[in-house]
Amino acid sequence: MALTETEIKRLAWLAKLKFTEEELAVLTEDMAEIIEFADTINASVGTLPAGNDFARVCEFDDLRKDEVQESNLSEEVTSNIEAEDGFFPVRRRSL
Amino acid sequence: MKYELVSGLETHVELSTATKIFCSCTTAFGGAPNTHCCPVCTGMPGALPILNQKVVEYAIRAGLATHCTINEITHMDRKNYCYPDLPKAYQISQFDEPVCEHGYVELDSGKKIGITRIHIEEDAGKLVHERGFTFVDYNRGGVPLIEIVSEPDISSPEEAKEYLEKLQLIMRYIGVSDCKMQEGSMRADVNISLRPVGSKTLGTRTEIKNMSSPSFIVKAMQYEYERQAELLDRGEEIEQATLRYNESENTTSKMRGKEDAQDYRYFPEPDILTVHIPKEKIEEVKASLPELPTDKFRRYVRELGLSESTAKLIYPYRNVARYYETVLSKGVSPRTSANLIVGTVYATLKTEEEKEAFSIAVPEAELALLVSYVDSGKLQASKAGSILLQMLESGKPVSAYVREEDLKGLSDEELKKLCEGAIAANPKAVEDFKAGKQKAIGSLFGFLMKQSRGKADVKKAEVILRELLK
Repeated sequence: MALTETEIKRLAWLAKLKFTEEELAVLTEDMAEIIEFADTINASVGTLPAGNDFARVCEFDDLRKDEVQESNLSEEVTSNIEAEDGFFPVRRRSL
Repeated sequence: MKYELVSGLETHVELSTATKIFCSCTTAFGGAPNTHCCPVCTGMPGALPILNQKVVEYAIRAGLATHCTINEITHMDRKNYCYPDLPKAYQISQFDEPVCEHGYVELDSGKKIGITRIHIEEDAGKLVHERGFTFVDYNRGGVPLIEIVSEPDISSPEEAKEYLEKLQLIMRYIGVSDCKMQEGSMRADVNISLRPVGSKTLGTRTEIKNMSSPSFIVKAMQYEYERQAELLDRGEEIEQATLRYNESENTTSKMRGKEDAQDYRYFPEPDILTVHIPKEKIEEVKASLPELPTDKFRRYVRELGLSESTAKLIYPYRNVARYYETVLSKGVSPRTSANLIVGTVYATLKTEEEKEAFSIAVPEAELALLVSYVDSGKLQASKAGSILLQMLESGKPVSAYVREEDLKGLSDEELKKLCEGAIAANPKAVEDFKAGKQKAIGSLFGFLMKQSRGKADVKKAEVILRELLK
């Protein structure tokens, strides 16, 4: 399902955004692609049993098991700061 | 005017799970700063939280142990506030569908302190303020907590202390937390208001944040009671405020007033699914709960015939209670066993931690054997105590100290002979006793026990001695 330019204008107004006619043309095309992508998700959902509430509710048994796993991103978590003894430094400013 | 204290507690208990609430990072205490972290618990954009099953299970345990109703449908909410200890600028908590509601904790007096709710949430990181900077460590960020909210049923500082200690005991018993207040794994916010005695309307309340010791809670509440009573006596109004307690001065001071009260803008957490807890799961958790502390205490007194004071020395320590009950399973006397544990074993355990751990050199079966000798009258209780002391020291079995011939006891004839000997050897004591000094008979007992190497039956010996001394 594609969106019309009128619908895009309405959305822009709701989001308090302003676009030129050229930008609107590009956006209309982009939005069509985005919606199309969402449709592929809808299509795959359609193959699952109907009336299933799985999308909203998680069964207790399906929750994450309490087993420690080292994150492979532990070092990267602190890599973009000038770490002082490994701490995240935050400058204090009085407002 | 006389005022009545009205108080409720919000207690945070750190759960002893292996991993954090929304990621698989370890919850181990300590560690170099920011080493127990991942994109989820440092709030990196796009990282998605996944709820830990054990956190929900522990909350159910806590709820069932405090007589709560468990909600079969429960979900997480976002609580928005902006502070560096919370990297996402919101805490994932629970607002309108917590795991547990409507429970209570019973005090010794029989009074029930209502539990409004128990919900699960994540802990914040740790801040260190230094050199104009704040340094942040997110190792604790995302560690699971339960918040136990009580009804305003508490009407004295002592009740608050007892409530908290009961809560601590329950949580330890059911194994969801170690509840070490000094290490911050249990903390409480205390709400306090005053009203004229007999009045039914609630006064304006203040909240003392982050209390971490029951004795300081008592002091802080006493101080706050006096402060509010003084203001009310002068006809002034209480300002609704959040307070901090200063331990060194024993005063409270204002952190923030009503005008800058936080607006948390709670809304349902879109990144985590609503959880369905089936009835069967709740029943399963209920069946796995151990006997709860209050029930155990009552059973010790009513069924085992222990005195309240002896029972109180045993039931709070899970490991002692387990040891004691294993000894009893061998069919020996509950009272003798309890007395040997409380009277003799405790003498060798100096700290609360040692009692808590209760790792001693005497296996349950050996103590039971010793108690059985006392039960059958083969061994004097006092002798059993001194043997037990040696066993605790050496780790050797009962047989190393008690020989078969020791257990035969003394015949009446032998005992009489010993008594006569004691009288002959202690003329001074005999003279004193005859002159009316009842206590003088004690040195005859001492002599008798020494001569018989502890085998003499004190009660029988007393009858014989008194007869002989007539």
